[in-house]
Amino acid sequence: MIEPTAEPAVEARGLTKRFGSKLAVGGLDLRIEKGTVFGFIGPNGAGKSTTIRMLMGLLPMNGGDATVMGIDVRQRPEAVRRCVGYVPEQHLIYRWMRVKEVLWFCRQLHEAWNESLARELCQQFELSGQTKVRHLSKGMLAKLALIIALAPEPELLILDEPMAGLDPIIREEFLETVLQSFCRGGRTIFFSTHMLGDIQRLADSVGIIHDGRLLVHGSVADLLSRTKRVRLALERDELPAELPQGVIRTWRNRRECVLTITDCDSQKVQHLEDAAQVRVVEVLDVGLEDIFKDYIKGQREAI
Amino acid sequence: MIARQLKALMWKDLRVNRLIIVFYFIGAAILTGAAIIILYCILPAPGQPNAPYRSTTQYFGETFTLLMGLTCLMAAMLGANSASAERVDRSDAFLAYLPPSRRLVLFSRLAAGLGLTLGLAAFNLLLIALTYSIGDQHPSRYELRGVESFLVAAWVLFAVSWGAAACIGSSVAIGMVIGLLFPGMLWMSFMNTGWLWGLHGDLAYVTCEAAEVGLGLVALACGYVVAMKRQNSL
Repeated sequence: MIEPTAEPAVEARGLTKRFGSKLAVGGLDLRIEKGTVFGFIGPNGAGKSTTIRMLMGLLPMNGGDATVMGIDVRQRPEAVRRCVGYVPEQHLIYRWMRVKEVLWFCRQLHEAWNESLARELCQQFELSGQTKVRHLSKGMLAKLALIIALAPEPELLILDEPMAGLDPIIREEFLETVLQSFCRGGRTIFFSTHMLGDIQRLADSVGIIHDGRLLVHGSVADLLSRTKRVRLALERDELPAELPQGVIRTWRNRRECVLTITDCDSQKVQHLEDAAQVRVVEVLDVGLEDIFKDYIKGQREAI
Repeated sequence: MIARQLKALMWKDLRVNRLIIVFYFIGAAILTGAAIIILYCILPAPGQPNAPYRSTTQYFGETFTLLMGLTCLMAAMLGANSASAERVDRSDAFLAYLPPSRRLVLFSRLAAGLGLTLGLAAFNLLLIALTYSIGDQHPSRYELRGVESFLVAAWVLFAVSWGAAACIGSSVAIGMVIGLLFPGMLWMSFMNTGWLWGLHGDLAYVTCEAAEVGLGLVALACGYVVAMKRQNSL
């Protein structure tokens, strides 16, 4: 269980963004405690990057407010960028620069810059200072972006799908570096990715976003322990009239039915068992990937 | 801290524009080479009865005055490139999430672009001054007015290209605007010197120059405001 601190690393209230008539993010509330790893997941176009860009002060918000490391994003977006390390999905680093020039350039722009850490990471990643950025592979570019984000030793690291399209070895190397170099001294990671296995392994808390709305926000351990799949055998071709609270998805195939239930406890299972013409066959634990899929599919099927 | 950031940003902006400077010097070398070939291989030697030039000083003085046309074209390219190069290749987005303020980033782009334009104009003026200081002749008043008109044209072309490139998204459209602006401004400069000054005297000429300088200031300010408001391409 994560203990709430006096001042969260990120706090958003009613965060809203519209692109024309399309609502990209609608009234999103978020609180991320300092010193934790937060996993932000959602399908493509759910509003993850838009949320992150608003939190970074890169995109003006249409409603709500947000603070990052205690700094009001609306009032002082530049101050937010000074204390946040950010690795985006697309690494648009100047292609004509050499690696050493990029690092020199970034060092001049940051108040704090740990040169020995930057050198250490360059060595670890076998990144030559003489190489031009345009000649770097996608994986090497992601590593350079990570060095740029880590060297200023920020209090908060925001990773916006930085490992999309990378092979598993580079992904592993990337994550290990983040963990070794960053997760020391109570710093916070805001991690948006489609790699749900990584989130389950690393994150303390998780948020699932769909169509600009936050469906779930809480501790990963809680979510895993309290979400279950209940397999039912039906005596007739219909579901019980009253399903318990917290059913996020119903899957049915003739006389077999699987319910994914959040906050699932023995009372809810008993409730199902008490229903006429229903027999509970088994109660299964669910991984984060299946929970995520059930939330999103459940939402889509409900429409 | 701001001085350090500005130094790094200016370094980057000078590098972004370096190809234009290379083009300029290649263009200047070609023009000078062509002028030498024409003078010594095609035209009658200066001073001869049918020669169009009285002296080599006058010939090269006017050649380097014509070089101001190339300086104007480069001014237009520097203006457009400073405002739009990083937006077109999307490296603008990289800078957006680094600490410097948008204001400082734009100031650096403007300062680097304007500084390079002034540098090219100064180089061009130096060539003209050196030619006349080595030779036995002084530039005519007409020629001096011509140089002045070219300098004003270079300023307007820089500023209007900056403003246009800040407002227009497509690099092709920016190129078309510059393609139209450049001959228009050169024509205006010739008209200014040859017609306005020749026929209507100093006051009309100076008024027209002042209007051009004003137009440049307005274009520069508009481009700056639009660029400040434009959402980055991240």
